[in-house]
Amino acid sequence: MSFERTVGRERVTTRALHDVSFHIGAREFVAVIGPSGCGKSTIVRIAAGLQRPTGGELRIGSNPVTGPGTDTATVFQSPGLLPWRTVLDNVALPLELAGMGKRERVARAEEYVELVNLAGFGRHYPRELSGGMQQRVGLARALAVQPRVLLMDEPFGNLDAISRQRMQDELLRIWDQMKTTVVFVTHAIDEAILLSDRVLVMGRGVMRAHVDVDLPRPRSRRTLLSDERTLDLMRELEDLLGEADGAPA
Amino acid sequence: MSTAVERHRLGRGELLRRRLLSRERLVQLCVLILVLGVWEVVGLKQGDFFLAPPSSVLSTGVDELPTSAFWSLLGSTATGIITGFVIAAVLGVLLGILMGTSRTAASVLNPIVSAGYVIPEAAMVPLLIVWFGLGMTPRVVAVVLFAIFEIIVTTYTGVRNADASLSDVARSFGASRRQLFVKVTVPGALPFIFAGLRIGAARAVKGMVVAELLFAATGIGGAIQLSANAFRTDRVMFYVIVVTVIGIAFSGAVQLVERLWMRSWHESYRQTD
Repeated sequence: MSFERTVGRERVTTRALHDVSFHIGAREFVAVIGPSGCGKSTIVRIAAGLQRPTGGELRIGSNPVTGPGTDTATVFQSPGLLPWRTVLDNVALPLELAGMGKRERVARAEEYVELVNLAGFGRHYPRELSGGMQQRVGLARALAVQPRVLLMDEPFGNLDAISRQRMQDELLRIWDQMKTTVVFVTHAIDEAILLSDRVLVMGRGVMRAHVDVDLPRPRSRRTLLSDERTLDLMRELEDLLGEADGAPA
Repeated sequence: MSTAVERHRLGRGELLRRRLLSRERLVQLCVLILVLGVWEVVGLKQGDFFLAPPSSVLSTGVDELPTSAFWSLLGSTATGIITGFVIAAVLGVLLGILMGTSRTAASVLNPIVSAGYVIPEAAMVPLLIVWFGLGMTPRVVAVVLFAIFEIIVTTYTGVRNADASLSDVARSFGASRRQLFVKVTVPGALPFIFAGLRIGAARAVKGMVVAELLFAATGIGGAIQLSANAFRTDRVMFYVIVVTVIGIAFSGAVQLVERLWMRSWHESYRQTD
């Protein structure tokens, strides 16, 4: 994966991803971690159809991703809500874009607004909500698409520690209900361990390692803290990340 | 979870009280009285010829207002302003959007718009008279020239400043180019567009009066010119006040449309105002 652009007098080629090959099973929750600039977000952008890979391909089921579609839905780091639309209208946006009728999409939006615990806030505007609540709206909007793969690009990266923990719990609860495939990009090891079945470690555009998170579900911060295995995993990932970064661990 | 934001409407009485009886209103009123008072005293001393005091402007107004001649002047001027402004608004917004969405259009039109922006439009009026004669057309063209560049530039800025992360979101959910434009880009640019229209409305009024001043025979601008030639400062003042009122009413009307249209933006748009 590389981009070419002309900047002033130079033609600049940026290679974001070199050799990345992985498979994600259906209903699997996969976390992708790596230092910033390692190409994590590029994977999400390709999967979401926002960027075309210059070589290779990404398939969902048997269909290669060639552009945006309803196979995937993305939760971005900044929630990206339209400030002139209410919560409900924001959640209904992807359905509206797909041409769903008004009554049907409002009903669906209401259902998902409730799922993320925002019932009663449907008629509010984004600016009236806290950062955590806004990110819930972003999550509801992505879930309302009922995608085969839910893409999350550091979705809780901008939140304060407490909202972040709440959102993690919420995500665990929702994933338990929906059991959809999730690709979750993060740079936080504890977040990856708490949420995912498997962690992919990236560094400098290359996939460095896969680590299975063999911790029993349902999980919570509390159960993880009392499990010896958690510490082993954290140590292992910490070492891998150190190597991936190229810095001495 | 219960609703955290509560809204309740103020009663009519309280609304009125808050509007009329605030400290700001009181200070405003005092300043106005002070200015009018000083003007009156100086005017009475200097005489009507040099500076007509408010009292004589007022009595001129009372004489003029009921005459049909005044209303036909006003009608002619207002028609020109509105026609010119509507043309400038439609053309300006379309061109601004075109420039904001097409790189080619932007690079072709940018120098022209920049040049048009700095041209002293008043200097063009004699040319307009040569080209279009002395009817309504050259006045309308002058209004368009005065108002359009402001509208183009603000619309262009608004479209270009569209939040890239919002477009990314919409694209990731499969928005077509048209949907992206209609549902994200244009609503996002609306506060800019309306700001441009408000400035454009004020400039349209100025454009009309400048054109009429140079025509020396038509509309309110013409009346100002004739009164000045006859050294009737009271009438000049009266007509200037009339023009001011037209200007305020006109941009107030644009603002009203803006409020109604953008009700859903509430505070979020007023804060960026």
